[in-house]
Amino acid sequence: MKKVDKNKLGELMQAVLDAGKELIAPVRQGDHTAYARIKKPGDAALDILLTRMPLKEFFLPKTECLLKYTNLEGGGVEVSDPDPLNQERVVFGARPCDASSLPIMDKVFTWDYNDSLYLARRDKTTIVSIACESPAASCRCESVGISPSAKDGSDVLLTPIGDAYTVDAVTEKGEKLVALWGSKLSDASDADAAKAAAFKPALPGHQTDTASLRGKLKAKFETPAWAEQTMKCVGCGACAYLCPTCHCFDIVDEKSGCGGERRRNWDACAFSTFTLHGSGHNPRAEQQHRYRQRVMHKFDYYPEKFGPVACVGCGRCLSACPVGMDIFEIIEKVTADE
Amino acid sequence: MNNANQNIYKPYILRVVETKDETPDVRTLRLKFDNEEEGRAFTFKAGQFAEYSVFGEGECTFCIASSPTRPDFIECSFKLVGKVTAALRDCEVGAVIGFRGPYGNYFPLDMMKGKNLLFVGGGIGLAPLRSLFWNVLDTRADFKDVSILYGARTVSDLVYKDELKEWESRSDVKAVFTVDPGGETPDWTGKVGFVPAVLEQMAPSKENTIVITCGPPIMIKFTVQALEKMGFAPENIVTTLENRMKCGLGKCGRCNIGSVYVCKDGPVFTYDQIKKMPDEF
Ligand code: SF4
Ligand code: FES
Repeated sequence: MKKVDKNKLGELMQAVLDAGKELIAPVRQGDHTAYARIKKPGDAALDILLTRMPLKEFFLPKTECLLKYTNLEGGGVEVSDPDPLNQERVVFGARPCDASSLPIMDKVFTWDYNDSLYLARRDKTTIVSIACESPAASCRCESVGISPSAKDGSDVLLTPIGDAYTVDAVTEKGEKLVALWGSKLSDASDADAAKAAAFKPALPGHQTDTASLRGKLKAKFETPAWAEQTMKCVGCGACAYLCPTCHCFDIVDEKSGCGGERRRNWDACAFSTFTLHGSGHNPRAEQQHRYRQRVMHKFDYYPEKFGPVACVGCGRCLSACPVGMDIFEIIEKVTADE
Repeated sequence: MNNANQNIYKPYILRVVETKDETPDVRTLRLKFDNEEEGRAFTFKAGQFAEYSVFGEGECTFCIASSPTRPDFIECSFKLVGKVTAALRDCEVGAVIGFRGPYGNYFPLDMMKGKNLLFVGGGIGLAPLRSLFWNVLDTRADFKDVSILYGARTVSDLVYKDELKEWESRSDVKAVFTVDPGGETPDWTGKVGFVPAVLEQMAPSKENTIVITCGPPIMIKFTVQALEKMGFAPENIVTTLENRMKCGLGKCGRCNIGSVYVCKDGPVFTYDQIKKMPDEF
């Protein structure tokens, strides 16, 4: 294992830029915070615990071209793929929860059909995560079996040990990046490694034992508690847009001149039109049905197909919801004995 | 599984070679692959669906309404409900259509061999049944008795009118057609009555019989009730479900009923499977 001084992280980021790779890091944009492409290490705001926007848009952009088409003279149409992504990218300073969302989305985007656009972005990107020293009250990672120092989805994990971080290459991609950093890193001692292994900050917020509660959800599909608990949801979709694992999308065409694009845009099960049939019938007619879908998809349907739950406990949905919906509290309430 | 570099959203290019107005608001398009080689390599099974698109307007989901036993073309039938179907309706012979598919599962044809088949359809719900029906007729010796009960609200709402006549005239098919009370015309020679009621009059035997049904939800509901009353087992009643879809690939997260993805686990289900789904139709 390697280590690096806390005040040397800028050098690691500079090395990424010098190697011609794109650098993505948490940044402040006025009152807003997000992961963004940066041109100099000084623009990174690694002190932000959790950016308002999750990492997902670098893999599933808010809007992206699926294909281009050109109307040909004489009535034909020529269809072409969007421009391929050739640029190698490094995300520096992801949080373990955001990194954990990637293997969760991978399962969807490789389920029987490989989604080449998503997979190209995954392939070109190396994720460097930093374990969280002071988790916030809204952090719920331990509610879903993740921790402030979880490695899943990260290629390199930096774990705080006093004035330094241990540098742990988790994957082959991570090893390549560590090799690129070379002498900027020093060898970690056994004592450093032991400190990193013991790193376990306490989470200040209430944690919900979703591992044992989620098994009860299926049987509670019809409980009146859904209506009671979700009455105040206004269906704005903020929770889905800010969720690192929500991946639902719409496909729409946009014309321009003698051609256009077919595009994929984020969508959300919170919207009343999401499942609306052409006939006017809607299988999820009320907001309670749509919120139930949100919970069931993450904690019952997804795990049934793929294993883990589709929630990383980042808590963004709790912080951003305009009416204070708390998905964990709702899981506790709807699974409670009547 | 597709190669990881291959764009799964890129459609085949098909051309309209024939159009037909089935009813005032249902149209059928007959389509051929622009690239003949792609057309020859393309295969599908009765019951599967596809995403059809007009470039610049968007994609729409329908079943493949033609039979795999007639591979020279693909047909789809659709009702005019919105922007994309309006654009598709305006596609005349020679127009270009994007086509992604085939997607989803299909009717269990192997399991149907050597059995009596009873098709029960309503309205435009005949489209998926028609794919299987022609498949069965084109391999008729594999099956025992083949019957079809088809109904619509009015005479003008019946789809595939020429084919209905052909089926009626065949000696190896028992065909019964009906329209809802009040929907008949003076020269209508078929039945007058709702599909489930006519089904009860027909009193089909449940012995060695598979029922394949598709139609408006209310018709399916009462048809299944009638069948169960006559002793048909839920696992011998097969239907195809519709839901709002976008990707057809299990990715866009739109088509699920409980944990069942209609686009991947369906659209064909036995009534036994449907009974186990949560009530979210
Ligand atoms: S739970 Fe909150 S954030 Fe999510 S859709 Fe409802 S009101 Fe919007
Ligand atoms: S249609 Fe997109 S997931 Fe089924």
